[in-house]
Amino acid sequence: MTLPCRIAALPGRPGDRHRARCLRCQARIARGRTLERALRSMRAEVVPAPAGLHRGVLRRLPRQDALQPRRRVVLRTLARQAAAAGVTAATGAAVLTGVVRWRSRPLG
Amino acid sequence: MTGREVERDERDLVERARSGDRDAFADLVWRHQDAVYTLALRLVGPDLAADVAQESLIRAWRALPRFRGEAAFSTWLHRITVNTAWTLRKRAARHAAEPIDDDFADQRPGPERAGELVDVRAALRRALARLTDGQRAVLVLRDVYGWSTAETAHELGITRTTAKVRLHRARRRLAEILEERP
Repeated sequence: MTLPCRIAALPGRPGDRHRARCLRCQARIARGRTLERALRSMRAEVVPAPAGLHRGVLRRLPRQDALQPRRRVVLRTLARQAAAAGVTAATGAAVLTGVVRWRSRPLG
Repeated sequence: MTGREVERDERDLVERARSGDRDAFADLVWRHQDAVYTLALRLVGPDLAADVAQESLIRAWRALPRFRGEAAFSTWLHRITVNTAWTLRKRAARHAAEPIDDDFADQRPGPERAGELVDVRAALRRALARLTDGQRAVLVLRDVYGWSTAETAHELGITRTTAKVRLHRARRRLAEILEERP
């Protein structure tokens, strides 16, 4: 909490003594404590959810993630293998094209 | 039902929901939707709160099989809500930079809503809406929900130092805003 007088921030007795005497600092400290209490008390305050929320959630429930973990792993593996095969084929085709072009280049 | 029975009942519901029981999850949503919505409201304001709450609960359902019960279900749900709020807020900010509406009051009457604290809370809600997104998130998680600096920083994807600096600035700004009032 930032107090109005700089001296209040001093550690030890000078700060303590000032805070004990200064009405402005005391008022700020009191306001700070009220604010802290009010913020903490908001936790118990509950705002009712809109009427359609429950229905909306249940209507949109998808399949749970881990219900079929095996299928996900299989799919991921297949996708990875397909991608690797694609990259290999593309690289091979590029090398082959390069070699053919190099061989058929005009001499001289 | 005693507190312990409620706890056991909730554990049972979580266990059933983890294995895909939609009815058990529906019960859990009934129990927690207000708390999730309230947290979302405090983090992103009324325009996005319902979307954040809905998305959080759906994400929770999807991730439930991975919930190990190391933290309380409500704590876990709060973490998902913070995460979702952050993601949706960023996405919304990319499209429009509108300030959040500051008039989201608790409409539920109750005996605790009397006295000075009620006035302070109402002023607080308005003041919170005027903080930056980052400051408000840190302040709400630390000072309202009592999270540690480490937890707050982790869930918001920022460093502890940033969390501390934001908290300090948020508290100072909040005090300034409250002092502006007539």
